[in-house]
Amino acid sequence: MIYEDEILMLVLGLGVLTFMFLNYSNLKRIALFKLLATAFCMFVAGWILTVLEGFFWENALNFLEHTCYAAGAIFMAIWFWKMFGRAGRAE
Amino acid sequence: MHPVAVFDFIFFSACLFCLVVLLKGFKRAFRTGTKLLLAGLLLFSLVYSFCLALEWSGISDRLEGLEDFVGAVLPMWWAFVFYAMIQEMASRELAASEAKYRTLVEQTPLVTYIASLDKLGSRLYISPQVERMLGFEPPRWLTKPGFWTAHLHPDDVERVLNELEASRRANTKFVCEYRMIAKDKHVVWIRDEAVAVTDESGKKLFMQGILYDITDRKKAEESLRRSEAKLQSIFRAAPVGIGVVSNRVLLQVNEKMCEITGYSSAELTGQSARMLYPTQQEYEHVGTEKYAQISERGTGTVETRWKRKDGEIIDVLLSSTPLEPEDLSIGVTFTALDITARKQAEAVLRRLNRELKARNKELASILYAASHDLRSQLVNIQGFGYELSRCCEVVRSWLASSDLSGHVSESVDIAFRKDIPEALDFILASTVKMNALLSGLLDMSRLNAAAIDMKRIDINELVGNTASSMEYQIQEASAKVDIEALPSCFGDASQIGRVFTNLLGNALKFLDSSRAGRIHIYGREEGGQSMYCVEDNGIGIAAKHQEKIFQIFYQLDPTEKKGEGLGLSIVSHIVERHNGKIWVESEVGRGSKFFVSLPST
Repeated sequence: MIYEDEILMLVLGLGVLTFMFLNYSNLKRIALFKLLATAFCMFVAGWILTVLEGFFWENALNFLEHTCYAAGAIFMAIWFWKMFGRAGRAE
Repeated sequence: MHPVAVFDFIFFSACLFCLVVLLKGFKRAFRTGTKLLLAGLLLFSLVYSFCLALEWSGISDRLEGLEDFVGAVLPMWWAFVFYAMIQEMASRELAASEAKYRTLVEQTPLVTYIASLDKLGSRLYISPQVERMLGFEPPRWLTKPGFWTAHLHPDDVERVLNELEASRRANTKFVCEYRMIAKDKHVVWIRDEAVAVTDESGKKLFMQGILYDITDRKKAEESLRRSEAKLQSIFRAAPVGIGVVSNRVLLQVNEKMCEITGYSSAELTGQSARMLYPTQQEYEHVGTEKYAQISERGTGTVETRWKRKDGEIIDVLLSSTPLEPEDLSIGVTFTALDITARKQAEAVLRRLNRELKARNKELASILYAASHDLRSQLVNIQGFGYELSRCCEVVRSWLASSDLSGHVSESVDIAFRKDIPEALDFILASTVKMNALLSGLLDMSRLNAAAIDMKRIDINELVGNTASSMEYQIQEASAKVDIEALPSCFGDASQIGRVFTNLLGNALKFLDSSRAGRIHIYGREEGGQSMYCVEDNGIGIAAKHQEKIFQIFYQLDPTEKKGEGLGLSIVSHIVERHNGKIWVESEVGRGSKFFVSLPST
């Protein structure tokens, strides 16, 4: 089953992904940007999977979708921790 | 529990963890300027967590539309985050770049400026160092058009604006040194270097330049110029020849140098100094001697001979000193003094001195011979005078005892009894006097011929012995002689003894009979000289006689038979031969002080 909001989210997500790759040379100067980029890619993967689950393997792909969200959140948490957590304690 | 719920729980926990970290590190993150990024991520976390919470709490059915909408725009939050990051990075890099440039521009000792292309050179930007340089704050430069022109030195305005205009027309760099009037009215010398900045099409946009304070340099240049002028005036006006040589090649000479050598400045400059020497040997000797002295003492002085352009040989005294002691090749300054006249005068002086010595020697031998020969004749006169006196006595006795007294004329009688004895007495007295004079002259003659045996003399012992030997005269004069401890001196003991014998004898001879005689002998040592004084309370010497008493045969009262006027003359002669001095201080009726100064070392 296809939901319009999921298609919209996927289209926007792919647009942002393209934007990220186009500006990668600028963005990579941000410390540990690879972690953040990986987190975002995980989220995009989740959005793709949530669209695909409407066509086939619903349960399996739903499982993978939430796995991607969890992994993306963990990568994001690590990036946050490395960027501000330790530095905050050092201050 | 459904496995998907576990992953969502993990997701939810990670989002909460991010939230906590963000809140804890927000202060720092806010200060570092990433607040947009943080706000974006924070909103994303909150919203997505909120959506999950809605889904699992069962409320989603009632707020399904809201959850779908929030979920759909989630990528936009990420887009917002990435865009914010890029902007933040660009902003931070620009700020850092500006800070670097500003630091560079404003920390250098130079003033940097941007000026418009108008005729007044109005400033569009000027770095803060200008306030330290001229006292005016940067805003005053920027707000008043023509501020720069208005503060140029009045004498420089026209020249500077002309040069600025010319450089703009020729598209060349504007480089100009001028004076500006500072806020406190003092004059500051400025060096201005500016170029026109153009766009890609070549259109001039503005002038960009630097100013630096060259007041100290200008003062140094002025000081150097004055110093140079002084040296040049000395160089031109010096009464001696002055020149500069490098590797013995003449680089520069003054007018006096040309006058001494007979060559013109053009003829000398650039030529080897060899042209001035009569022989190669003389040229090499001067080089060797002079440069040896320079390397030893820093300066060199050599007497040599030069050959003038007209062939005349002249004597010169050369004094040289290097411009740079460590490197003689840079140049050596020398002075040349024409000493030909002095050399000739010295030769004449040496000849006259030799002649004078010969004459003196001759005179001394004549004096000795005359004194000696006259004395031997005088002995004859004296002897025969006594013989005539005795004969007169015999004749007078014979006349007195004979019967011829009545037959001898009265005049003959008077002659033998009175006139002839009186004449003979005068003759004999004169011969005694002349004998004493000749003895004195012989003494002086011997004194000149005698060698001086210089030794350290114990003056206490010498003066003590002298006083002892004159004890009889001291007692006869009823005088009291006090002798203090005296410093020793260098001299010939026998001759110095004569000095003190004469001075003590004179003091005794001229004591005042109206009061008890007192003679005080004392001395001290100062400045390498031993000074002695023989002081008496005698009759004293009038001021008009004081300078003459050391002259030969000079007597205060020639009618008094108190000597021949030779004693003080001999004393003076002896002291002079010892490189000493003698002088007198005296007051009539109070006494005299005779001072003798002799070398103590």
